[in-house]
Amino acid sequence: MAAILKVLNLTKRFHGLVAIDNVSFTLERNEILGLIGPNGAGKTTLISLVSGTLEPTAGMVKFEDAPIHQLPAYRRGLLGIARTFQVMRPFPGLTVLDNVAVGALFGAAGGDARNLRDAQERAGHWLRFVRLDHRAAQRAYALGGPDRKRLELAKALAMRPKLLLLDEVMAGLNHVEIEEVISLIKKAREQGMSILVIEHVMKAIQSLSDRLLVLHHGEKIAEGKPDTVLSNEQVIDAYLGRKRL
Amino acid sequence: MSETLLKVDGLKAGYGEMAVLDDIHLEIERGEIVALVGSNGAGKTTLLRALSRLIPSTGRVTFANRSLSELAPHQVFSLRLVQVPEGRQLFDQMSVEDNLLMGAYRRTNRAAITADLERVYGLFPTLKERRRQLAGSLSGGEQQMCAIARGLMAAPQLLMIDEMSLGLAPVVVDLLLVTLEEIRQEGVTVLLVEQDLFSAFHVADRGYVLETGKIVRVGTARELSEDPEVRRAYLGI
Repeated sequence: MAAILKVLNLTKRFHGLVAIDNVSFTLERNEILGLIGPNGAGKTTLISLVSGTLEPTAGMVKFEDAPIHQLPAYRRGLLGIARTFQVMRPFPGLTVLDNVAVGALFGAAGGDARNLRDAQERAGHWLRFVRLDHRAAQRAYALGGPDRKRLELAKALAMRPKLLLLDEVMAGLNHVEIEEVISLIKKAREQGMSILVIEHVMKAIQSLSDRLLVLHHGEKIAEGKPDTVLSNEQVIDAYLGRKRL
Repeated sequence: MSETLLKVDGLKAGYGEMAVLDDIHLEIERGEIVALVGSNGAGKTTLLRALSRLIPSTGRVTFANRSLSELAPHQVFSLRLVQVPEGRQLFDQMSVEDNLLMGAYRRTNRAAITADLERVYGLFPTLKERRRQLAGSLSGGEQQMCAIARGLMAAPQLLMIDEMSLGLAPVVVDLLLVTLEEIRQEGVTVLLVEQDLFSAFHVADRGYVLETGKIVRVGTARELSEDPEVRRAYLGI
């Protein structure tokens, strides 16, 4: 197995606060790695350091064996890294289709789309993929929570990433909708993507992840197979709680 | 002795031309925990906004024996009908503690406010650690905690929580469910909007199911969680 992403001794400080504290891990090609941990543990910060919305204080991020941690976010996007945001920020005045076309135009590796029409065709494909094509012509501001989540996912997928970083794409969805998104993510992996996923929905994390990485106060406290990690005492105390319903 | 705290009769509401809620009837007893469930887009948040008077509505809404029809949102808030909004809606440029104190801005009993502040800090130690930080610098889950804590600081008679578990770690969700039981013992009534039906029905006495703007089911939490239609539509079982 070849690693697509290597994170080496990564640290991020915000003034006095150490948000990420000397974290190292590897994401294998075509792997789904689940990232869990208590609120404020540094999960989103870690995704931001990989995607380039934040720069590390120390340490290194390597994508396909090349250091990328000093590149701006758009360059990392071109290399094949895409992320979603917890608080979704579509272009509200653009149609749903054009929101996704932006992703296709901007696109990763090779810049797939050659012009707007081509980008819109590709966008249509990804809207069908996330089952949002029936709302393609509407403005993005008209979408409610779960459809915004789908749009956020379609925008990232339209960039044709090799590495997809998902930040709580299932928050606010009901059980039926969660099952749908789980199968979407599995489909994305079948298409060859490597995926790092933050999620609090345990059922989703368990059924998706090949391995889990647990952060607590910015430090890695556990890493490994889901069953092993989820029965780790420290993980139960810090994150899962003793009284699961 | 049961006492009706909130009574909604024939409520209709929407946005401009778009009708969202149609002929809603709902009754909540003092001290109850009531779950409001339904698909996304069913109108749950719209109902909370109508009850808070953030959007206009027709029909009759009585809260603690007073009609809310003519009241502005801040007056409803003064009656201690308090909404924890979806998407946190904190004052990003204010400190965590000032956000919490904003929850108590209509209250005058300083000693009680201070006691409640200590209580919510006991509930969410992270917020105490970060009380001088700007709310906008909190993580997503911490912001959710701050929004719920701010609601509690209003000393609500009826606390309406929209998407309580959104973005929260499992251990924190458990803690909040226990907290709801506790504040109910103190006489607080809760209307809970929650996508995680297992959590919602675990703590609620009764539930209403909302579908495309209409109440389609009412029952005890047990009845609803055993209802085949509810199980199919929301639990995927």
